Amino acid sequence: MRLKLIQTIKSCLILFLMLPFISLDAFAQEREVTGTVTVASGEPLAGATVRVAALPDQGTVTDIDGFYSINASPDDVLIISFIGYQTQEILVGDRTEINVVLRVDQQLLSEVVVVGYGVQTRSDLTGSIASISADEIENQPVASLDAALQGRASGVFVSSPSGTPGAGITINIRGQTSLSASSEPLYVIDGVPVIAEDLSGLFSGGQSTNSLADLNPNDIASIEILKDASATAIYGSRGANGVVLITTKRGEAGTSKIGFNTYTGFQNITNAVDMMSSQEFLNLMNDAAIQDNRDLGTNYSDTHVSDIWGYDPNDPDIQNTRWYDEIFRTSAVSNYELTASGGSDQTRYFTSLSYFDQEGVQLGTGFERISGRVNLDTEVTNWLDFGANITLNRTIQDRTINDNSLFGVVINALAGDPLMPVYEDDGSYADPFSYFGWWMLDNPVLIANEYSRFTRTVRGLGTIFGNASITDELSFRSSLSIDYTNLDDEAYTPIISRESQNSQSNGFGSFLTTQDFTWLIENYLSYVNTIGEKHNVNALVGTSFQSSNRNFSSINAQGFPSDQFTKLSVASQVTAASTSGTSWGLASYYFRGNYSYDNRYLFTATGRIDGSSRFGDNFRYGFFPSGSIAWRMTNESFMENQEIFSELKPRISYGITGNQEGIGNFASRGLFGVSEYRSTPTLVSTQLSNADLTWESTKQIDVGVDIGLFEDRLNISADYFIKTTEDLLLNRLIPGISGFSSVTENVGKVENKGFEFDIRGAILSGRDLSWTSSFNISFIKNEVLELVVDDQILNDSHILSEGQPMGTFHLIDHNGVDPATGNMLWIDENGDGIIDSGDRRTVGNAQPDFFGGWANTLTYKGFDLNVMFQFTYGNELFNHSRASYENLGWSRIGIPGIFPLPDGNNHSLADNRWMQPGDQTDIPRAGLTNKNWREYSSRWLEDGSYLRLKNLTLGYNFSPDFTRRLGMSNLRLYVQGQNLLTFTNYTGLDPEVNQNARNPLVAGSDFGTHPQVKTVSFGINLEF
Amino acid sequence: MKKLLIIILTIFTVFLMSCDVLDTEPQTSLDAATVLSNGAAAEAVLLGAYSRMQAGPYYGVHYTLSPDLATDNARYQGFFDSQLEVNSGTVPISNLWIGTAWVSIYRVVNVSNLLIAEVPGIEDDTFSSRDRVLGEAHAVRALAYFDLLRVFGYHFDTTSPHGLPLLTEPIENNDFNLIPDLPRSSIAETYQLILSDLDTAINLMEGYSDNTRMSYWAALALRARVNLYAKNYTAAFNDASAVINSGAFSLVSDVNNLFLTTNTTSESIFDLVFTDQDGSTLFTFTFQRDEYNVNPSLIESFEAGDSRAGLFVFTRNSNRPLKWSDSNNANNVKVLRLAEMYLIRSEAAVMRDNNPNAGVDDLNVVRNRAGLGDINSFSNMDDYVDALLQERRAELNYEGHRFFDVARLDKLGEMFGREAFRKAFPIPRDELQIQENLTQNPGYPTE
Repeated sequence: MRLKLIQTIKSCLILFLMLPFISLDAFAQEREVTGTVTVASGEPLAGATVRVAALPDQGTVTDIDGFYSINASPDDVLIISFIGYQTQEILVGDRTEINVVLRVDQQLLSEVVVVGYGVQTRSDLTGSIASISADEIENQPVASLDAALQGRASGVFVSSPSGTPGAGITINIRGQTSLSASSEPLYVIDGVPVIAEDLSGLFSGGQSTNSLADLNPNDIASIEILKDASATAIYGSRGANGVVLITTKRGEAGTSKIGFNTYTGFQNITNAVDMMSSQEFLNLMNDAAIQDNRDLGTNYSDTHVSDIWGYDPNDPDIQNTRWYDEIFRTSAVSNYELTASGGSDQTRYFTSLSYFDQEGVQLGTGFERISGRVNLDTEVTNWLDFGANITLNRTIQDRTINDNSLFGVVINALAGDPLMPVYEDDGSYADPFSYFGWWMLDNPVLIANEYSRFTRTVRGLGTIFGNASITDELSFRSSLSIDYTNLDDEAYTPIISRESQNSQSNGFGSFLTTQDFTWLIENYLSYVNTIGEKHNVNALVGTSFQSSNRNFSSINAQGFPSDQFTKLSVASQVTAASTSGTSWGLASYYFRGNYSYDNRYLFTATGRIDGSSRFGDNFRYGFFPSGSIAWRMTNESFMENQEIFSELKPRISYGITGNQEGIGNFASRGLFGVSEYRSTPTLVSTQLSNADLTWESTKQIDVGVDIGLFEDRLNISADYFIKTTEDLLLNRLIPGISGFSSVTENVGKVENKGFEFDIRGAILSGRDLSWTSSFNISFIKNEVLELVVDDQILNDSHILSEGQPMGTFHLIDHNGVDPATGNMLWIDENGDGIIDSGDRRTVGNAQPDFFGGWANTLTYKGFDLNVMFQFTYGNELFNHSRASYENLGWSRIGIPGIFPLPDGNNHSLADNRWMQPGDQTDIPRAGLTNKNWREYSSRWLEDGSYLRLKNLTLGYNFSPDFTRRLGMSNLRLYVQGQNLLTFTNYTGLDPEVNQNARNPLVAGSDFGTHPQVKTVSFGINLEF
Repeated sequence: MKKLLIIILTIFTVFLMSCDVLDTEPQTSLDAATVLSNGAAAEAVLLGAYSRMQAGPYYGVHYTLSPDLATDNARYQGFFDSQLEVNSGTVPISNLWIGTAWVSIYRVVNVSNLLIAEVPGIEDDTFSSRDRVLGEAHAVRALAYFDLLRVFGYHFDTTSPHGLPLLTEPIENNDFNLIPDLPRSSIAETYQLILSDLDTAINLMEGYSDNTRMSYWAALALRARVNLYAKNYTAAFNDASAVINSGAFSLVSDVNNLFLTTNTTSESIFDLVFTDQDGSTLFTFTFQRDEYNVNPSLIESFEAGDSRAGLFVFTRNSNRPLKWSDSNNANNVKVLRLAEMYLIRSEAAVMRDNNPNAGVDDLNVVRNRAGLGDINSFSNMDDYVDALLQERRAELNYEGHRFFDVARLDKLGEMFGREAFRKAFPIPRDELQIQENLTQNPGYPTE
């Protein structure tokens, strides 16, 4: 019985494996057809694709002489194509030699670009839109789609504030427009503006979670980035920061395909800060005493500190803990994905199921996602289409506290005492208070391993749409969408942690939930017509209603029986519990009209009226118009007889867009909230009113040109823009005698202006070898033009001033190290004889002068090589971590003569410190007393420029002949490296860093931030 | 036709579903314009003043700790500039604590201003506690203004022009555009408002006792303290006597029972109540975290046998105070307690009579409770002042007194070598930037 079952399974398996081969019977009347493909001038065209229409997966390419050879039967149709040329279809008949002349496609390859509420061909565009295709971003070992955009398009600045798996990513399109509201773009996925903000309520020390990581990046077919006002005005009060349109993959009629993609790889931190060994640390401490003798006349011995501590710096067996090695690891990342797509003329489908699993390079972190998608299109009648896009995702983020917080992992490892072991001999965690570093508040390995912190989401995004053609010219589209997220945060702080012991709470935990339900109804009419020969009209008018409800709850409890439990039900005491909720709504009306005359003069006008529940009573509705003009000069008669330009299109646009993110849902009202005293509820005034509160308004002018050269072998886009944002939502200072320090008001003005260049070219296009390259660079200058109150000190390191950009550093400054004494030459800015926070001055900013990327694709036969660099230049970073690991022996807490106790260890760069009179260096002398250490000083300010080999992929595509024998239509193997090389002068862990991810005004600080990772992965793509 | 019908039905459905998307209401707040609708709401708003006193910059942490940090009771070894600056004694005008304290304490003033203006006119026949609410609002305002005065004004010099901007009306229409740009009043005017508020409060609250609020006795005790600062020694003596002799309060015999509790005690005149659900962050700062440490000189200053020296514990390389030892931050802040009344009466008697021995008995009451023997007499006024300062330090450390005592007794230069202008903290930079009529204290920069 059992044997029979096995046999049955076996035969089924064989059948299954054989299945693809069954269709492989040869065509009876096939014979060889040959020929040459040339261009109009008679030159051969290398690399053109020649295939048989009935066998879309097979084909060949022309060689250097334009020659091809293919098997075909007389009934077959040959399809000959090459990018930028009109495709030709030719019936074979009885010919065995078919020569073809391909003509340049005057529609400029008719590349279709997704725009707000519709599509257009690139040649018809009058605005500035960057397109990124799926093959540029898919299969990258990153958790979210936004991470893959880095360096891909001009004007788009992408940065990961922290390398934490699943952490939030910052994208600024053409600069930061807002001081207090969000400068992040609007994300629109298949027509649905989605919730993209951090919904987690878990304290993590300045880092956000990324709700875009809820979606599978490999489902994406293309990403369009709308940059100028002409493109974004259709999104009205949410368009000012640009719009990212994401289009997911859809099924194609005809062949059904099953794909399986997987990769697996290993990750490491990009760079480790080299810390001193125990011996070096002890020598530095002894040097500190010696330097004090020289400068202050003390009389310590040469081994003052090591004697007191009871160590011999020359002892080779001394404990030597490398803390960075203890908290960082080589970790695995992998992805598995199964897709099926296809359909008939009536119904088409795309489905995918994927699992992404990333272990963090720091102990205690990780990110997992399982996601599924179904995209469906069906023709109900000849005038009515229906469709649905549904995706359901589950993510689990394993987190630790990090960055600037007392019990962060990296921050506690910063100046970790090398004399302290991770574990005591009995296996328990070593307690930093038993060793010689003041800095470490708890053992970072304990924090990473024993704390439990999880953020889990279930995200569903679904759209049902119908499309009816009323007449040939007029159609109506209606859609209903739902974006639903259920997020829970669970945290447990163990009994053995210092944090719990210090608070005597015997373990404490919390459970928080956030539920966001957003619905959207969109309806629009579109009209397309050509009147006469030369007048092309394309128009749409529509409405949109969106409403969002959000509910929160939280429970905190303490008093756990042991660290084996983390659920609150076993806690002895609930210390706090609450529920709350909020909501907002948006009612919108929009139109767009495109008109072109003779394919030469293009005009676009766009407008949207947005009503928002967030705006004050006096300004409930806003109107956001834009207009643009482009001139396709190559279609003019005077350009007919030239062959240099295949496209020459100057364009200009102007418009007004808004930003309403970041206004509190009820920020316009005077409110009393509930507080408590003696366990009795009380009423307290929580905010003053502002009936004038409204959107931030951004006026943008864009002048650009699109150039195609040499039959589009080289494409250049260049833009200059000035983007002025007025009515900034700003917490304006008000007299404190009112009991409030600030109110949200529409005040102030900020400007972003700059140049952007995108260059794309086919450098080589031989039969075997081709090389395409694209380069982009952006020079964006950000400047605060007007504030109600100038020179606002934002925190200990940043200021907001007119004439300066956002993210301006305000620190105590210095004139280097005095070569005679080795002491810092602090600048007494206010001349009062005391160096304190009153001596801070503007010393730099976190804005880059320019940034960009350079991507290359080389193919040789079946091999392909992608090399992509990404760079940022001219920004400064406040390397706050150095304040801890460049303490140079300052005994912050101990008494130098009796028992010196510094913050902890120092980095090896401290070897470059001043040692004796005459030394020229920028690191002052060591010392047990504090003369040279100022926490918020320019001593820690560094150049944050970097050039990074962002991506290096080497792939091999097996030939169709080979894959056919395996029963596959496609087989590709690749090896990929991310962030393999980074060139920078920055001395911290990684120059791509920002501890305050949520606030651009205080950008550019690094204080124990989780660094970026480099990844090497191996992947395979199969298609049946 | 069918097409048209389907499309019309779709549009109809859409509008039915969407018409109310702009009508959203907050779920946990009330409109400010209509909040004071009846007596119950007035009581809730009044109680809200205490909730505001719990704020971090005020009694919740920093107002309670900064006077010790600015002198020799506490030291700061962390990395926040704000506390480092207070600890150093040279507080710049950009200091974060003074900026937030100004706003937080004025927020309490505004609660009182709203009640004082609106309570008489509330139409509610069942509002029987109207006078008490009004009186308490005056007492709360007096406390807030006096606390502001001690930080920002020349409270030690009754002839000085450097008093406070006195806002006594609610902000019109709750509109931030209508906040008045007030100049500073003189010290005499500031004291006058505080004392007249207390007189009004005491008149309106007779018979009302509650040691967790600014009730009758708390107003009287505060008036004793204010009169002492204003050098009205006879009045200070009388007010302190009235509290001591009322029989409503008694000293807790064991200082451990006074502090190692989260409840009020027989000594509490006004305890600002914190609970485990509604905690301060005093434990967090003084005990749980590692940067807010006891200055060794405080430990060394205790006489042998002083039971108050037992209110410290040495752990994690430093002494930590036990006055805020509840790990849920549920210890009450003792804003006014009986021991201080004895010390006020002692000092008032000595100063009134210019006789160093006129207040020895009251000083000894406090010493005896701590297990110390009597002091018999002082040979001169300086000796008395030194003994008084020492006694106040031993008794009231970590309760928000030390800096103000050293400043008003004019010992800042002698004890810490600081310039005389540092007896008052600077007016915060933010306030000077936006209020043209506001002037800086002498000696400090204006920007």
